Amino acid sequence: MISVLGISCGPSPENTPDPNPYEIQYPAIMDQYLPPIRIPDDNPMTVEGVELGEKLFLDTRLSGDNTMSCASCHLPEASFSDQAQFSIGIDGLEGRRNAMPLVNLGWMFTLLWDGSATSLENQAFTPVVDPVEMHTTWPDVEARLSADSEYPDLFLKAFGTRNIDSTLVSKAIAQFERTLISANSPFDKFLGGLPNGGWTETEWERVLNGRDIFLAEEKGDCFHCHGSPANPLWTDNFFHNNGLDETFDDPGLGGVTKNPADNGKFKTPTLRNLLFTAPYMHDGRFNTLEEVVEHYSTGLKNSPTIDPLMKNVAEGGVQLTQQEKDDLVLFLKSLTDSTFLR
Amino acid sequence: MKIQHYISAFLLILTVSCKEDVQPVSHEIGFSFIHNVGTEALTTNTIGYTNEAGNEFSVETLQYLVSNIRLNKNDGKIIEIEGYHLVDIYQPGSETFSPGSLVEAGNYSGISFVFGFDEADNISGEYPDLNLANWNWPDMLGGGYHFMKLEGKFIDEQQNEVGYATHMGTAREISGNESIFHPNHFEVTILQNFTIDSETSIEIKMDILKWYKTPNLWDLNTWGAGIMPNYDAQVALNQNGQDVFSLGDLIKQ
Ligand code: HEC
Ligand code: HEC
Repeated sequence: MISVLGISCGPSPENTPDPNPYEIQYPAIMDQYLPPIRIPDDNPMTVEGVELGEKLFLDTRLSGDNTMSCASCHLPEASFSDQAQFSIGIDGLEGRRNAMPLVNLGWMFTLLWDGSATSLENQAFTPVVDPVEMHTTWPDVEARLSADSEYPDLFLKAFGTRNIDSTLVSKAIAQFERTLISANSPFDKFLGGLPNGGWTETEWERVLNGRDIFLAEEKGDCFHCHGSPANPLWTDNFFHNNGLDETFDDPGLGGVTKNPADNGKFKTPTLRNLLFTAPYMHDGRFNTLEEVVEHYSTGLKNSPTIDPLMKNVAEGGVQLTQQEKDDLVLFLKSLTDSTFLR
Repeated sequence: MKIQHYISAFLLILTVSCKEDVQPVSHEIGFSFIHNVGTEALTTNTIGYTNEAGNEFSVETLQYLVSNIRLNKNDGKIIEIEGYHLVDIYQPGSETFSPGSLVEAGNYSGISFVFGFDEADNISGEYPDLNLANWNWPDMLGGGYHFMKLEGKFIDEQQNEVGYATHMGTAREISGNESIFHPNHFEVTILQNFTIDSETSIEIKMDILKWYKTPNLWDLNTWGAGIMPNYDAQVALNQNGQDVFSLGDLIKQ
């Protein structure tokens, strides 16, 4: 009965071995402090799927004129972020937001600056067709990949079918993205027991002072949004208005929820790998970490949705001393993992 | 209707037969957390509430941790419910807690729980889900986890709308150049008779105004922002928190 059904309803059975399960190798610090990443039931990670996803991520045939891949804006040598303020698509058009790094995405509940994507599988559909990004159509991409000499076999190995479609492309890319785990910065090494994180003792004393400013509610108070040693994602995965503007050209979360109380709120970015991910903020308005810290210290702008944690807003912020600002910047730099770059 | 009669008849037989058995009848128990400001149900983001000190304020964030819930039976038996639960008004679903625990049918005299974590449980970095929720309390203040984040805006003495953050956790006392860390959880005990005779959800209600009322009158102009390292403020929260909870309805399934 079952075999009859299988023959009459299923696709013609192709004789390929099942793909090999992909075991995520968690860095010690992730293993210690975080739950395992949540993998959707309908897209288990496999060795073949991850390899295929990486190939697709780097493939320019996912764009209208074969010039642009995901990696054109998410540069592997820049922690998968864009060093341009706004990414330029294939037609020379600028987007309105800065491309953030792709790192530790498996632990993120929502994606994009405004939270408009909820899964990596869904997110991967949009850049391909976005007019200011890769500007093509999925049927075109499917046709180009199907005509390739290698792809049909790679899809067969990863998903058991040579029929390439957008759903499988996005699944493979999502599998690859889940492997982009970064946790080998000097600060991680310090937490793992390496004296001074491999830096000099004088430098490290300043890093630890910077960490204390980061954690002190009456000083930087950064940790309430950006994580702490026991939250190695260095983000709270939530949306806040950190006082950049008085009025908003880009409503951020409010544009998605249509709730005015959410206007000007954006997803807290991770503080990992900042040395490679400039410029900063959703619109890439700051080029240096010194400018970012100055913003929190003296540059806050008031608005109805500003986060309650932003203090002394009338005076622009908590007015850190020069030494405090320098040490805070050095601490931020110690969260950069150069072994993650590809 | 007829079917219901059959079912109750059946349940009756079950209860009767179980009485002779060693196994008592048990029902699944859940909790739901309800948040009020005085007599009104909490709504977020608009300055429309007034506390005892006369501060007009709004609520933007409310998150808190409860652990070690216990139900006290009339016969003296105490039913312990393992684990902890983080309530967050922005996480739909977190306002109910269904530990999957089966609780003996019978008459109860009250319920108690720990607000926050007690000393034994309040260990830095110990709980992956709470780390992911960014719930940690800095080690320099004694470590472990936050017990509560209550945040919003209020109208200050200069008539400006400014932020406040009522965060609670371990209380650090500074004595000379030494830090002494005082556990700051408290035990909530609500004495109220109730009966468990079916699958039940117990409502636990918080009145936000009471955090700012007794025994310490709390003025947000003094204790608005930056109270985490403030020992007196932390102790005052512990005292004020004792009466913020009450029992609501029992919703029978
Ligand atoms: C033209 C440049 C460009 C290309 C090409 C591009 N992206 Fe992006 N990507 C961006 C920008 C800009 C953002 C931020 C947009 C926003 O938040 O509104 C972003 C955000 C993301 C995010 C969200 C990360 C987070 O932390 O929330 C993911 C995931 C992502 N891109 C994956 C991809 C994939 C997969 C591809 C290829 C299919 C791709 N991107 C192609 C520019 C690009
Ligand atoms: C209330 C939450 C909150 C607090 C507190 C906070 N931040 Fe942020 N931070 C954010 C948000 C949200 C953004 C993104 C804002 C945007 O682009 O609109 C951000 C952006 C940043 C960025 C840019 C990262 C990037 O990739 O673009 C850095 C660096 C940063 N914050 C550092 C800090 C430091 C240092 C402190 C403490 C002085 C701090 N933050 C305090 C929420 C916060």
